[in-house]
Amino acid sequence: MIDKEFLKPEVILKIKNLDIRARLIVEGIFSGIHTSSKKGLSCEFTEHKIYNSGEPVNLIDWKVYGRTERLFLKKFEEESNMKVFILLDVSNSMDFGEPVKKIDYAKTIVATLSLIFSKQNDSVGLVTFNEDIVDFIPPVQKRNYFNNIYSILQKRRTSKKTDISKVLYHLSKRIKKRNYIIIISDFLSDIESLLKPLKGLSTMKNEIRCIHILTREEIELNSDNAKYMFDLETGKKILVDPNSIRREYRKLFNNFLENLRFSFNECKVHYNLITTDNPFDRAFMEIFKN
Amino acid sequence: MIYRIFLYFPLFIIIPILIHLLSRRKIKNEPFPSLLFLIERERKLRNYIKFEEILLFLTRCLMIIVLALAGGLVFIPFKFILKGEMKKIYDTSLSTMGRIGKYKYETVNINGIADFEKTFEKYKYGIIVSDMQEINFRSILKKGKRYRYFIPEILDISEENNSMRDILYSFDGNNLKLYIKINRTGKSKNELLKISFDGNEFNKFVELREGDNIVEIMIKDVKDGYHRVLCNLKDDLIFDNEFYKVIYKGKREIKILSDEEPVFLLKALKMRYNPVWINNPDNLKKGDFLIIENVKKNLNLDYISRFCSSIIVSVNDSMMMKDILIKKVKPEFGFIEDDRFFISTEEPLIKEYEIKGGERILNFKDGKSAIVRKNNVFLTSFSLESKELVYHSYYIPFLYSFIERSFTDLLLNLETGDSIIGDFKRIETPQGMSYENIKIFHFDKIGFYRIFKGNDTIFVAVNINKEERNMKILGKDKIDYIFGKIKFYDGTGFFLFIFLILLICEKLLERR
Repeated sequence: MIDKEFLKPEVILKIKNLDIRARLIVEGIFSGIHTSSKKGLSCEFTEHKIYNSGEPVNLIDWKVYGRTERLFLKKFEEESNMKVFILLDVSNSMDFGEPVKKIDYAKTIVATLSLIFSKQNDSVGLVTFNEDIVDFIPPVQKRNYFNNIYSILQKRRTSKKTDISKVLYHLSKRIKKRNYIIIISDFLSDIESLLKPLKGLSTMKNEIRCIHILTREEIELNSDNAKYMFDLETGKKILVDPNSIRREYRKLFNNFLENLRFSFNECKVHYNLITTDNPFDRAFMEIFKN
Repeated sequence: MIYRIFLYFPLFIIIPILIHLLSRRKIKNEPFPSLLFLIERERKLRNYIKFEEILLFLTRCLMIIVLALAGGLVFIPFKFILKGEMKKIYDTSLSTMGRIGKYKYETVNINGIADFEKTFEKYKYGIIVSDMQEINFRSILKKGKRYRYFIPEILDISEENNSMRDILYSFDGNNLKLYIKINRTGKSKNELLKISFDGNEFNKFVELREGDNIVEIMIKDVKDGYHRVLCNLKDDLIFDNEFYKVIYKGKREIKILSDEEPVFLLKALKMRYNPVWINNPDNLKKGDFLIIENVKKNLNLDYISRFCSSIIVSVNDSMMMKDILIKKVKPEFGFIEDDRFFISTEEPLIKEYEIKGGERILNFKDGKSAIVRKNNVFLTSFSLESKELVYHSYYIPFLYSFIERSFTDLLLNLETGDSIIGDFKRIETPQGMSYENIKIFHFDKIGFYRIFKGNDTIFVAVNINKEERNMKILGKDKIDYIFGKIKFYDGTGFFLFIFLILLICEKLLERR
């Protein structure tokens, strides 16, 4: 059983290997939960079919033969595994946070989710993006496939600006219906432009979840001293005195969050706001709550 | 100890300037995900930060200045600091009467002597309104004390005044001609001269010009005998008061006395002394006996005392007059107690004296001591050389009592015709009294004398020189010496407090 202390971001992120990180978190999340002893493919019996020569013998229902002396084949309906697209924002704005950067926190969430979905035999794909799609790993149900995801996550660095709407537009062209799309980003972009592609994906019967990663500093602007702040994405630099503008800033930022929540709700998108000071178990409880 | 050299500290103002110029407040560069919510405030903030920079710089400069001021024992003009607490302290001693020019104020109490040491003990700071008579400050000058928290506001001596200087007379048959010499300071003015002759009063307007004026008054048909002549000039100087003219027709020695009730005249005559009234001490002959009696309390005793300082019996160095020994002694101190008229004559008289709560304690070598109380003890320096004790010339009325007593004693023990008595003159008064006039001994030398009769020491006498008689206002150097030149409140505490406030401000600004 994992001590919850280990699930604190600053502790977990000290582990460089994403795989181990993810496994630790998964272990931590599911520790204490009773697991079933039965393992294997979940197949559902639907009907019997008269055996014709040449058909596989192992599917013959011998019990029915014993009763009826006729050969029938068992017919199963195959359970279709869910295709999960995890979209990770790797724009420059994600490279922020002390001691835990948003990108590191987000990568850990991606890795953990990948592991969880893989264990459920769901096929997980990863899309990293900034102003365009950077990496596209389609979801494939394959053993240890998530290692590919890990390696991408390990090497991927933040760059460029964010343009989620453009990315979603491109993605909608590349994917089919009924996917589970998880977007992990700080969503520091224009909300209005985001709504249209989101609605489009929703209408394609995709289930969408937005995980909003923010630092406490971004929400509260707690620092004291006046300083020059430069925009990580645009490079623009301005002089800021947090003390004098804190109240106004918080008000604006809360309005932004409210708008975001309201818009996602309209588009039937699940929304989770997670700050980087949250322990991972709590973050996942938040995500899995819905 | 704090030194004035600290005042050079403001030179170090260059330090914060250099710090400000060379090491301006470093503003960190920090990344931020999005400036979307900050950008609106940017311009306002930039100006604000600049303003803060200037404020911080000024605060640092001020800190240096204030610290230097605190360390440099800089004084703040205490009128500014103690605005509500400043007291105006009026010198209500007698000397201020008649010396008040434009500063006319009502005195609450007319006390004999201005005791400035006591005043300075009582009040910490204030404005001293006084005529600054040197005589009042002599002990302070002697001790070299400084009262830097007092501002002297020197009363002007009246610019305009009249003073009756002399009255001469001549006879024209039975007519008496009075020549009244009046000195005027200031512009010409018509004044009312009030003359009383044997109770008959009449007034005369006289025009007084600047300088000496001679006013002639003719009194017709003056009969032989004593007559009262009273001249009164309504004047700023109240000294110029009533006086008598005693006329003894046919005699050359006619004296003018200064009192309505000539008690002392009678006494002096009884004692066979030749009493003199004179209004100019310079004209007083040594050995004359000056009498000014019944001085009213509201008179300018100070001014009068200029003349009364000459009131002392003068005697020869040493001589025997029957059983009375008159002996010149060394300059020393005398001590007289008012209510018992006691005269101490032990020699040397004073071992030491000290001040305790405004009282003076005299210790004599014989172990006796006496407390000199302000109002009923006369304390005078009998030494011309010594300035150990303050000579207060205000106690003239008391001095008369003293003289009266002394001579009464003498009179009781002397027989008529004793060796000290000279020519006899019999004087008839209109009241029918007759007195013998005696020739006066003239003791020309200034000094100290004792008069012994048997085992009793009766009198100590001195002629005080002219310098001693004249009242003097403190010179500027002496005023500076007593009060100091700078009239400021010690601002060390104040500046340290300001420094503390600035330090807090600086820290707050620095933190931002």
